[in-house]
Amino acid sequence: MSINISYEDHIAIISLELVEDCFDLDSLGELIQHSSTVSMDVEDIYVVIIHSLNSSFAIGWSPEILDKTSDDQVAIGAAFKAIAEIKQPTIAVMSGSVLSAGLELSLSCDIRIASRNSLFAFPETKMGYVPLAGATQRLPRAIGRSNALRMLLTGEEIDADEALRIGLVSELVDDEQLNLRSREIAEIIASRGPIATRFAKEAILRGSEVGLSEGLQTELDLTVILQSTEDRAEGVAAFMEKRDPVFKNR
Amino acid sequence: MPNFIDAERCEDVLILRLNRPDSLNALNTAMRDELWQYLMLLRDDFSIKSAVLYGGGDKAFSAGADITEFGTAPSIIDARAARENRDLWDLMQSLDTPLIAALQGYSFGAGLEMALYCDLRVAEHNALFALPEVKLGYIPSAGGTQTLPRHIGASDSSMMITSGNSINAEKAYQIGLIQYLTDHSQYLQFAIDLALEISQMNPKIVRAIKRSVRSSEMEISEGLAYEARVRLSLSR
Repeated sequence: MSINISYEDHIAIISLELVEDCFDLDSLGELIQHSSTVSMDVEDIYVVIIHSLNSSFAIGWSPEILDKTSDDQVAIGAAFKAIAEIKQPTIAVMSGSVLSAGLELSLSCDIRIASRNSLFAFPETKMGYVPLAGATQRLPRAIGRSNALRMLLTGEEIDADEALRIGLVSELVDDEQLNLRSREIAEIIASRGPIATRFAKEAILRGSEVGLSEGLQTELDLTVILQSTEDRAEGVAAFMEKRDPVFKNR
Repeated sequence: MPNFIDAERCEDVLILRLNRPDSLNALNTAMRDELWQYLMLLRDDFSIKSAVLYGGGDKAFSAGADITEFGTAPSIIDARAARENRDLWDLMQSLDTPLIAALQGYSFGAGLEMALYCDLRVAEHNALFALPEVKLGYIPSAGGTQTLPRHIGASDSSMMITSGNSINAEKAYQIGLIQYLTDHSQYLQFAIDLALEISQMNPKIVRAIKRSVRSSEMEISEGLAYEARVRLSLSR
């Protein structure tokens, strides 16, 4: 296995240990499997971290994948689509080189944080092909069209500070602090109402694909559903009593 | 009856102050009712060319919804119907008159969501911003899950909304949540000056721009057609 999943309290940790930092067919299959494991276990898993055990997050595709005919390549995006469709909030934690498929995987996550040493690029154009797994769709949605086109058309490498400036990542951390900080963010999210964080993610993602008024209706409908949950009653009661809430995911 | 919102006119600018400083200007039903009246005035009185919204006292723009009202709310079905019948937030986002939020201290929950419906946000250096609803087991319900991602990047908005954590003014400026950052002694005057400046411009042009930019929610071809119609209507 080049991608493993482990659990700590309500946090699922997907750990990449890719050969040569590249995704091959087996690792994509593992990613699909872990995505469905996580999505089907909303009872116990409240938040997901995706990180790499290697010094780089991920840098691209294995030769086996690049050699595929274009018909087969269509299916390659399925693994990152599965990650994007995870119900719980997902955090990509990146360090070192984050290129091509590595960056595309992170764009399928909700939150991106990175080490100060990280570098980001889509070098595909330079090599004469287009990104295989969602970059042309997810990058403009994440950072706006101009910055997306700049990265995709030039293939230029941007450093961590520039990635923070253009909003590609939300936070920079010293490399040795990266695990600690990502765990901290995951624990914060896991401590919130778990139905609320899932619904918040749903509202953001559904709303981003429709007009504002339709998005507002989606938010209102999800709010109405949430009002009948035990967790919402507990959250409000705890706030009034000035104590920490105990959410039960109900 | 106390006024929960005070209004003052400065030339062609309407200045609205949230006036519950002892409750950090938390939004209660009465304040919402008054705000509705003033937003209707803004919609209908064309002699008002722009407006500023700020929080009274010196601690907050608004700390959010008044949580002490949560237990007294009508049934959720009634609440949804009420929202659809008289939608304060929809009225705010559909105004053609420019609205500038002047933000001090806390802009939390519905307070921040209200500011997100404004066209420009000015804040002072100690301002803090959060959508903390998930801490209480619910989600922003005055449009925050929709408006925040339209103002700032995807990762930053997901971080704020799913963690409920606050960000400071510096970060808010860096990610584009606010457009102007000033000292506390100047933030309100800065916003008023900005509103006065806009009020000097041709109101037909200003309103046309707001309407056209709002149409960027449409598909690009529809939006461009709308922009062209607005432009033609001006030249007649």
